Amino acid sequence: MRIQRITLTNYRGVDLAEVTFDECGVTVIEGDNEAGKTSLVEALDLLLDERFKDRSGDRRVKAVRPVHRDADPEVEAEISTGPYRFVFAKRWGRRGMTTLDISAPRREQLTGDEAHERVQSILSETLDTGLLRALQVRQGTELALPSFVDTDLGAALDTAAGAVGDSDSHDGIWQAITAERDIYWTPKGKRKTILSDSQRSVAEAEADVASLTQQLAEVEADAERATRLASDTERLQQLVLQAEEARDECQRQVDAAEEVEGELSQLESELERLKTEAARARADHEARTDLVNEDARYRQEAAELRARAEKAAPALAAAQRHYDEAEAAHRTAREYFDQIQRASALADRDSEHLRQIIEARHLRARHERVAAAQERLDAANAVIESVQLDSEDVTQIEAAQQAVIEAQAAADAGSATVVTTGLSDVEVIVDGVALHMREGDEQVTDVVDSAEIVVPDSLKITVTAGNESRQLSSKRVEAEAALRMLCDEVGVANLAEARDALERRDAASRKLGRARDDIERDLDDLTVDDLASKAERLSARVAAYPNERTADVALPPDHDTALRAALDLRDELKRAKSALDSAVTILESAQKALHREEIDHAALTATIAAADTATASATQKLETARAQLADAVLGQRVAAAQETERAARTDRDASRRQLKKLDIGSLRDRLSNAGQALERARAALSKNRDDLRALQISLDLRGEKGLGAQLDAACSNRDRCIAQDRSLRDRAEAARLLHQVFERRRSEARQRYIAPFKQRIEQYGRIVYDTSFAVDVNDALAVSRRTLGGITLGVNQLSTGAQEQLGIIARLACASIVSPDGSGAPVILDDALGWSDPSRLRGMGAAINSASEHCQVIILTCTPGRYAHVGNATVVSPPMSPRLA
Amino acid sequence: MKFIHTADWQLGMTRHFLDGEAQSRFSQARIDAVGNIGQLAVDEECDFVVVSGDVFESNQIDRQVLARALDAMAATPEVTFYLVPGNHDPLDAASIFRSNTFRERRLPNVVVLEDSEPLPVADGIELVGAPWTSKRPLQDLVDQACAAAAPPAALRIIVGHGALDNRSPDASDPALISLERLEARIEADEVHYVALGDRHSTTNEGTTGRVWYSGAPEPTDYREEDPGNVLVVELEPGRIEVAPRSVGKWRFRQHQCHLSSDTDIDSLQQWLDALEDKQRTVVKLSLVGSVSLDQKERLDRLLDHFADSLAALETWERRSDLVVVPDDAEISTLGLAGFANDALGDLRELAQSSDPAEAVRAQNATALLHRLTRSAQ
Repeated sequence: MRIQRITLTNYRGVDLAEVTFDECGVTVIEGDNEAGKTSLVEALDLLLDERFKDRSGDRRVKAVRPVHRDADPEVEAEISTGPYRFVFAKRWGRRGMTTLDISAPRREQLTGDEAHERVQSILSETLDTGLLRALQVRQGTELALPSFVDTDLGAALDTAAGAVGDSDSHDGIWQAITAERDIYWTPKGKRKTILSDSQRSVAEAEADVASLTQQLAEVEADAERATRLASDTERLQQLVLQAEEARDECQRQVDAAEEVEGELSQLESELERLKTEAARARADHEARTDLVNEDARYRQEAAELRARAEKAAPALAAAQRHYDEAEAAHRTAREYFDQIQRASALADRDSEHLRQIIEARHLRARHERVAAAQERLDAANAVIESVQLDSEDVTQIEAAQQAVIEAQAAADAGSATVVTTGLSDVEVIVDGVALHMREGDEQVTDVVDSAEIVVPDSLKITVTAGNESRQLSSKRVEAEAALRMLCDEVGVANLAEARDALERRDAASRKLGRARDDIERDLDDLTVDDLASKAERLSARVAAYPNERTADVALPPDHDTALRAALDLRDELKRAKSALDSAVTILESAQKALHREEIDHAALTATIAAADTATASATQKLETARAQLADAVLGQRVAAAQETERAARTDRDASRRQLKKLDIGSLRDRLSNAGQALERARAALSKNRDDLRALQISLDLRGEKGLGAQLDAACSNRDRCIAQDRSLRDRAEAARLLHQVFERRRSEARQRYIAPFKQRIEQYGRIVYDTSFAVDVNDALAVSRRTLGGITLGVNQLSTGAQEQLGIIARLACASIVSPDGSGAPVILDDALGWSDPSRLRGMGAAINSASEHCQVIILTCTPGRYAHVGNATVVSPPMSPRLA
Repeated sequence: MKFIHTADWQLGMTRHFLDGEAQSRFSQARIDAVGNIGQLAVDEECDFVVVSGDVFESNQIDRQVLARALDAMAATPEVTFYLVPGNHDPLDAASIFRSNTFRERRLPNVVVLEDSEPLPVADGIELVGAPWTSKRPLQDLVDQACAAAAPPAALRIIVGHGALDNRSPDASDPALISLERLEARIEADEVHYVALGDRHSTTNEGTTGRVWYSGAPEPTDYREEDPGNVLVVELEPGRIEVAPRSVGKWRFRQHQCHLSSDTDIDSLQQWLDALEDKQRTVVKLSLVGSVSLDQKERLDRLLDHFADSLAALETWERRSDLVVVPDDAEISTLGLAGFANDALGDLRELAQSSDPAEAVRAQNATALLHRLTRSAQ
């Protein structure tokens, strides 16, 4: 289809517009935005779309009505398509109108729906509307590389590829072939379960057959075995019979030998019996000899004992005598010892008594001394308590006295001295002290402070000491005061008194010590009271003793005498004791000797008695035995028994030799062996019967199964499975082969079919890019990949600009292929190539120019100059003006 | 004195080419044949029936078959059946004649000849059986039976089973029955009729007219020449008359045809149409030749149709060699163009391959294409 002209009237904002296009070549319509360029494309759609008749109230139709005027929009186009050339006009609205004026191939004029239908018929006959849309690149629509698969391009390519016939039905066959292949195989050529299932069925069926064949073979083998077993039965029965006979023969031989054995046994026991009898006869004979010997022995023993008893009698008498003597000596010694012992005890008591008398006296004396010492002690204590001073006090007083003396001496030296000398007897008072002075008496008075000498009634002289003298005197007074104070403290008048007091105290202390020593010595761990009571008790005892004592012997005069007597008696007692001990020893020895002799005597006496009894008993026994059987008879019996035994032994030995010859052991072994052989034969027969019975039962049971029928069925099933499997495999192989062959041929055809389109794209592409440009075109007749400069990229990986360029190149290629005979559709580019750089625009211009030799290209743009590189473009600018009319 | 000689009932036999329903009918027909033989004996006023071995297909058959066979023989209690075990049902430890089912249902008119002791069965008639006791006997059982039996006290019928030495290709088989010795005994008046089984085709053996294979009463295979008969034997001193009577209902037919044109297929169709009693007829075809895709389709439909109406229709794979080659008209009617046409050309080329497997595969693929194209159109 080519568009020669299009005229819009009352269309949107356009009152009237008309554009004329180059039928072959490029028409560029330049105009500002909103100038109505896109309306041209839209108007063409409305005009040609079968849905929009002139009465249409469709939203899209309403949308193109002028806004401010009540006018019906109208579109008229002059179009050629295929052999047809016509002018077609439509006005939508109340005054809707459709007119068609066909000028070629023959004239035709139609109006209304007839015109509408006719145009649709022409278009459907000559125009591929899908292609018409595919060849448009509209402003604002999504960039997409067009697929031309459902367009006239396919037919054109078919024609170019030289194919004839309906390609749709080939697709149908191809789908059917693929579907058939898919029944058996995966796209990658692997078997599907339908094949493996079938094979498994065959394998299972074969396994069934094998199993049943095996079972049947077993049945047959068992049947043959049963036959063998049945023939074995007879042989085994025969064997048992033979074994029984052999066993019986052995038994007979053994029985005969055992008879001999029985006889031998009897002979052996007879011999044993005779041996016993002979032994008994010998024993009887020996017993008699023993009795005779015993009797004689007992008699001899009794005689020997009696002789011994006679020989032992004097020794016993001597021992008795010796004992009697020892006993008398012992008695004498005992009596003397007792006497001395008593005397010694009395002497000891006397001595003690006398000693106690002395002790009692001593105790009393000690008591008196203690009492006296106590008195002294008390007196000394009284003295010590009365004296208040001690040696230190005296030392201090002595020091004070010395100080007074020194102070006196100093005062004396420094003071005036008044010497009063009596010229007669006179009474003088010196310093208040009345003195009676005789002639020649001299009284020296040291004046310390002052001194006053008065002669009564006559005179008073006052001497006053000088100052220094007074000071010295004052010191002396102080020393004296100190001395006096010390003395006062200890209750003495002066030093002498103090020394005296100290002397008394020391003396009392010494007395005290002595008194204490005395008391201590005399008490000697006792108290005074103890001492007293002890003395008292002792005195009482002493007083009592004379009354207790025997009066037969006089009490010795004194203690020493008593003590001496007692000691003498003790010595004597020791001697008596020693004599007594020795007498006891002798007595004991004698007693033991006597006792021994007495025992010996008694034992001998008893032995003699026993010997007498034994002798009597033996004699009795011998006599009794002899009364029963004489000694000679016994000897004869022994001889007879020995002879009989010898004869029996000869018989026994003969029998033994016979038995040995028969060899009963071997006979028994043979019998045992024959018995075992029989048992084995019987066991074998029994096992054979058991086996046969078991086998027969097993065969019967298996017979009930109908294995043969089962095998037949299994074989049939197997054959059927194999046949089915073969058939299935044949079908699968056929399907695969068919698919393979078709796929190969189809692929080759595809490549051939696509080739012109691909070549055309590459032809234009190389104008835009360079000679390295190449594309892959897929089955959907869309560009899938682009190769440039050796780099191949999927179209989705290309930049927006490159995708747009490729899209336009593909459209140009498509249009240039389908359009030459007047079919096809124009390539309409509405504001395209906005993303292309100037060099690409140049190339695109050249490509568009090249393509436009074969097809109509209509370009709408608001960018003057963008398509300046399209060589032979007709530029319509402005494309239309409002209100041309 | 008349009796019926039959053999090789092989009851319990199954045929793998028969599907379930046909197999049931086949089995039933063989049971029915037993009943028919009994009835024939009554009708022909025969004194008894001898069955010369292979009464049962094997000792391991389904016991149900045994029960039905006994039922069939019980239907004519006045007729006694003398059975001899053959190689299929030898009298071994697993023998069906010793099975519980057989023992429990022991019929007065069914006698198994377990040994070769002469058995008087009618006035002046005695039977000597030569039963098989294993599957592989090591001697001529018939000769052995004759030798073991006392001299005949009456007309003696030997009932035996096995191949005669004049027919067997395996001369070393020790179990072969010597025809010469038999004829000598017949000559010596020791034996008066030899009732044999094993061969399924009715056959008069040797020159005496007294040695017969009765054949199987119902056919079992395609190779059998004259099956489906029993023999009515009339025996008197110095005279014998043997008359085959057809009792078989089933037919086994094999047919070879060359197919290279529609006419050939027409002929095959006519041959099949002409078959009588189709539901008891088993057919094995060997197809040789070359047919077009259309002809093959027609042939397949034809065979499908007869496979349904016949008891069984087999194709004899070993003897079939049918090549399917599309003709030019078929090629053009497929309407294939372009690559599809190229692909078809490839397949046609492969179909001529020297590798038969590949050629068949290509033929099959071509046929498949044919079918798919048809259904797509």
